[in-house]
Amino acid sequence: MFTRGTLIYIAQRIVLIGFTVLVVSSVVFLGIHRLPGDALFNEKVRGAAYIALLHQYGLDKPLYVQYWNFLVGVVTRGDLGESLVNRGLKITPLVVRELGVSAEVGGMALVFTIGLGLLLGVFAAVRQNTWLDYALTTTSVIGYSMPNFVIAAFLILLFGVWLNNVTGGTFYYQLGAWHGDLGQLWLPAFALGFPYASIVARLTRASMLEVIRQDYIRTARAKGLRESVILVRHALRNALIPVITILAPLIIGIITGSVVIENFFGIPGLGKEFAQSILNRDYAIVIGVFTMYAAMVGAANLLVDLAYVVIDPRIRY
Amino acid sequence: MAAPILQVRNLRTQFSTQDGIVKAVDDVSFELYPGETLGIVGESGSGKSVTALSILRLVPEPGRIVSGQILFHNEDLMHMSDEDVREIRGRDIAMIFQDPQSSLNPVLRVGFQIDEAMIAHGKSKPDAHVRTIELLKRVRIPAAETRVKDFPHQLSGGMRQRAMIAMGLANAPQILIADEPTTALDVTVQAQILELLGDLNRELGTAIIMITHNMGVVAGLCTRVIVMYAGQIVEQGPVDQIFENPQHPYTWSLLKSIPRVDAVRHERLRSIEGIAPDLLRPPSGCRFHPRCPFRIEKCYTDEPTLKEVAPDDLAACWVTMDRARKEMGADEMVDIRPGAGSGVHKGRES
Amino acid sequence: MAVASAARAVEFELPPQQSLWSDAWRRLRRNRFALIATVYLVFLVAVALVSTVWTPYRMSAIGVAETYSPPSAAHLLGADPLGRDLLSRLMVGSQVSLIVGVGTQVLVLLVGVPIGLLAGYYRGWLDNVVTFIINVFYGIPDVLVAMIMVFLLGPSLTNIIIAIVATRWMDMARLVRGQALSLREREFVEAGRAAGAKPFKMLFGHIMPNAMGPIIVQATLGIPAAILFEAFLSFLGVGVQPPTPSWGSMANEGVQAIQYAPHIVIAPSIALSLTLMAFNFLGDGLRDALDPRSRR
Repeated sequence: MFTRGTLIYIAQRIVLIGFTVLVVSSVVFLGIHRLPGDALFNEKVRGAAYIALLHQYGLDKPLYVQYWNFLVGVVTRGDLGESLVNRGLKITPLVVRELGVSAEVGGMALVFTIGLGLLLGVFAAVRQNTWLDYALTTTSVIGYSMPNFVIAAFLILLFGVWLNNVTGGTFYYQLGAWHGDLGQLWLPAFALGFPYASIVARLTRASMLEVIRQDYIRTARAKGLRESVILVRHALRNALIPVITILAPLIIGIITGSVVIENFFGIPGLGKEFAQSILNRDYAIVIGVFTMYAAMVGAANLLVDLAYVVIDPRIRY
Repeated sequence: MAAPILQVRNLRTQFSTQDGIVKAVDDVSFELYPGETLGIVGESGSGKSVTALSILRLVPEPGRIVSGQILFHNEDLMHMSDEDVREIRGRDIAMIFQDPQSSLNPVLRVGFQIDEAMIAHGKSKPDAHVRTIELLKRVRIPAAETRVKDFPHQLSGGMRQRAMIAMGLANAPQILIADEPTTALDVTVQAQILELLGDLNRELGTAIIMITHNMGVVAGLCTRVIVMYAGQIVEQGPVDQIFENPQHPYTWSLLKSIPRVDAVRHERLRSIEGIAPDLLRPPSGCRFHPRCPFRIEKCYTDEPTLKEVAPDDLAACWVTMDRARKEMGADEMVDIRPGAGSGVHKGRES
Repeated sequence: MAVASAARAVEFELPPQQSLWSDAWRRLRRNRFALIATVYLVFLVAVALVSTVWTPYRMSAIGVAETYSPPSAAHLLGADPLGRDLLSRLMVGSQVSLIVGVGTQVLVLLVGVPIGLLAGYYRGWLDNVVTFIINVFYGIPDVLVAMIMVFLLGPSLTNIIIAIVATRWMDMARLVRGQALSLREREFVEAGRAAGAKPFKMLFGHIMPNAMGPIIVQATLGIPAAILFEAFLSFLGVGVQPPTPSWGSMANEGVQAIQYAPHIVIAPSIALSLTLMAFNFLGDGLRDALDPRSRR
């Protein structure tokens, strides 16, 4: 499975990811520095103090010098600089910590999405054209037609307000603690993942329906295999292939969705940081967060490509 | 003669479509004797594949077997539970299909797929592994030990079909149903596969039902043949006899349309005129009458049933070729268009 | 001889023929969800049009009702945190959603279709460049880029539309490119070329019409994606600025008060959900109707 060719491919991709991340952060860096007005200016700092501040951060140097310093810092030390609003706050450790938080919530959402989606999709396919199938198909369209904050709001109304605070009244993630416990995280994870679970369910259903019509399923039946075996071993593996295709956009979708959800629930992850920094015009952090995102997306794409290799033996790099 | 191992009686299989009910198999009956090779021949849409699928109750939705009996050693498969039918599939009656490319699961190894056939019917994994390699050797796949680990896309078309045959024979079934196993292959490979099937039939005593549209395949492999048209059997009997002296105009036309190596150069290629019959609204009377060169008035209105028209030869025809030869000069006919022999045309044929 | 066989040919009945479009229309009409969706969308457009000249109260009028007040006879949907009439704001908000939804797709069509056609039909270096650009854009989270763009350019409806188009045009381009790639191998293209048709005519007269089906479906499904996009941006505060109401920002305002004035978040949420659902059902219906393979 993981042949020499595959390992070389992985190595090439990692290099490519690194390159892309650099390009992306450069673009953002240069783009943002065109901005009129900056974080520093928002403070009530004037005159000499302002100029001193500029000098301290090297912001008075020409753009290409700043850019060079930035690049060097990122590549050699992984140093993404300091926040402009909370001076002295180093960005890299901040971003890494928040990545962990986002990954936890996002990971839960992903597991939930894929798990529920696959289950429902297979179920609907097997029970095609029954009322169950119909119900599921319709619900899934509704599912991905609702913005995740609408789902979140609805859940809060349902559990928090109308069912009298089932989650104990705190929707807010305890700051400082590394891991939110399941009791608190399930709500945001559900809201984040539900639209995508619907998409996965639809796709799995469609894919299963097609696969079940294939000749090799007929062969499997002719061999006298049990229906359950045929479903799981023969049908599902093939049906997963298109689902894996959509996995990359799905992960990206969860990443973008997390920006809204984290803000909504006050979860101190990358998404919240990103939105806050944009509103605060702390562009140093914006660059840092975005760089992190670029790396995440690259890694996600690579993982998806590798998933192909695992599932479909016709694909080898 | 020994007792038949398979008896199909009055089988009717229909498909419920948006536009109506398609009678794919309409009252088909035949028998299969141990160790014999039976050919079922007909054009696309004649119902031959559906008949085969019906035997193992593998007819896909929206089709279903409406009535009839399928007796395997005198037990009716139609009355058996799903579990029992599952047991028979792959173990006592096996089936292989037309396109080995699409009939093998692309994500599973070939060896595994053959193992599966045995494991599903009780063999242990190690035993199955060993036998799979034996089987691959039996079907003449070189380097069987390494081929076992290959995926279907790594094998050539001919090898894939051989692997399918190995899968079919894995549990030494009494009957092997082969649905157009050579149609998707090159001619040279076709010949090899047919030879292989013939050898296996002789060595193992497995009865073979060979479904094909190719008369040549039937001639090469089968001892008896059933000719189907529009969901019905129009003629059945020993291959030699039917080929020598076909009694049903359809069979006769089929054989006549095969170009001969020794034919005169400027002789026109013959085909059977008309289009395949609509199984939703089949022609009245004899279903072949719109295309039959020897039709008479009765053919338009009355549906003929299978009768013994020559020793061992059953045909469903009001005229039969004996009469067509004597009265209509069938042998001298150059032009075999509908009604050309009998001169009977009656307005709209449908 | 020829006449006789022609006459005989008539003896065999052939089923009536149908064009792709009439067949698709017939199938679409049978799709109940798509029909209901269309009715709703017509209603929505009507509301949007009406709201340009009239709303029960002025949407920016602060204090016409008691803040956070629930639905009542005077204010059918109640009032928001600033005492503005929710119904009026909701109506005006429909304008924003529709403009963003349809506007972005129109631009995406104008940008994506020609690029896709050119890349897919001519291939060569042009195709390589276009594919490369598409792949680069593809791996970037669209919302994040759009946020930065709006942040840089300033939050306004136009900028939001530009940002969305800039991050989503490649979907259309990729689709059209794929269509062009497969269509160029078809015989009618060769026939057209042999007849000396000019490139422009080939692209827009022959290839594009045959790709219209998937293009329409993609555009229809792109509308709710764009609306959702805008709702996200507004919810986060980087969308249209007050006092212009957007359903997204209205929902954001409502979240704070969810415990004691849930109507503020419920109203725009339902509006958003229904609108997105309607477009999705319609797009699905179109896709099924235009798919030559599906039988129902």
